[in-house]
Amino acid sequence: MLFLILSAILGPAESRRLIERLRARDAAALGELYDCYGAVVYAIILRIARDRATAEDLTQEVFLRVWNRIPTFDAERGSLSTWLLTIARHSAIDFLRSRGGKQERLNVSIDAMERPLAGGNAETELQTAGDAKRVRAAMDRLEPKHRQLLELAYFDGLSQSEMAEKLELPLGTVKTWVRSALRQLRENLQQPSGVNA
Amino acid sequence: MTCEELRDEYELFALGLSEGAERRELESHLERRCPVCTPGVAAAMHTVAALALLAEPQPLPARLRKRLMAALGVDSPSWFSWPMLIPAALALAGLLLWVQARAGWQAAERALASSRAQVEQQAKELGQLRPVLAFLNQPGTKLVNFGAGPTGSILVNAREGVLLMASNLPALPAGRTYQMWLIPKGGAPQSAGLFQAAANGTALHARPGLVPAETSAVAISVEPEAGSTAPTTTPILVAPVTGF
Repeated sequence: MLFLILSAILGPAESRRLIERLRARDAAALGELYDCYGAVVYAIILRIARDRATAEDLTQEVFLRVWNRIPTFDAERGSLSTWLLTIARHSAIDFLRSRGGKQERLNVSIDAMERPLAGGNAETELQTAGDAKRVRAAMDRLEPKHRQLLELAYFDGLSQSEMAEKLELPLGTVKTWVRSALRQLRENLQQPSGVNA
Repeated sequence: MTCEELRDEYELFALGLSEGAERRELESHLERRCPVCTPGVAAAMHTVAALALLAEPQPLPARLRKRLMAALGVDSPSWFSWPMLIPAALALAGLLLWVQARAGWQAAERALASSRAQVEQQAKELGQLRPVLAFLNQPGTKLVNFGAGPTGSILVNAREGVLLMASNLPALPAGRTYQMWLIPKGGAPQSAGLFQAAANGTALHARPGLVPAETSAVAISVEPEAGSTAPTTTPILVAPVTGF
């Protein structure tokens, strides 16, 4: 099953061409972007929202948001897949928080977070099949308590205070663990994992 | 704070967990496009985005792609193509609006019948209006005109869908879009897709597919650009549709 939906390959040249076509309002290009990343977008939204009908609605909204915002997207400053998945996560978490009666959104505005930034490996599109293995391997090497915190933050959209409350831990401990988890995750991802990427 | 002191803040920021003075300081570095922090945060966002790949793969509903394409006005029922409809329907909309402005509802009805003959001739010449005619000639296609503020017409066919032709739509601020709704009697509005008006305030929007029998009105509201699951503003147009 995994290889069936995590098989998207979007090289730099293909990515650039796709962006150009999206800017030219080529609806078929959005269809191709959907074919590459639709399954990942749907999977993450479903994981967060936990409702298939909602996941379908939000997945459509995410791609329409990309369609409407593509004129402001700077291809030289970030990858399309990073941007797309950032929008997907934020949309799902905003839904989750609004459903839970929490009016506040993520701690950083969506506009700021969804703005592509320069440098690093940001111009590299996520190659979903290889990167999925690499990320899973990096997460598996984390301490369970660290892994749990990252999953609560990423998939449940919990703030550090909310994680402290949920896990009945001092806030300072959560902050320390989160920083350690992120530092360790970064190092794990930078190490050769022995997994085909 | 120095860039080195902010290093551990990059992933926190990308996750939406950065808080307080550190967050403000990092945003300040990003605002001035700090050559250290900007690529650092970009890489962190790439890393955090990759966490999406941890989500358990799910089979993608086949209808979802069709919905998405339909929202863009493409991927139509097999017997005709909605994009092919656009130039033809725009011409028809202009004709309808002209008739409506000149002579009112009854005259518009008469002119519509007359216009069909004209459209038939154009269809032969251009080969583009056949889908419009097919839609208009479908048994049960209902024409609803509306005026006051936005003006135009709505074509409703229970089996084929809804076609909106509008003019005099107000320009929208950035980040907003029009959203069409099918409103069932006594039920919650159902989204019928997003659309933008042209610079001159005209718009053509199609929502192909079956129209629920309980639909009693078609409405247009202004929504955030990604659309809404229910209207969040007072509709600028509510057109009753019955007998389709």
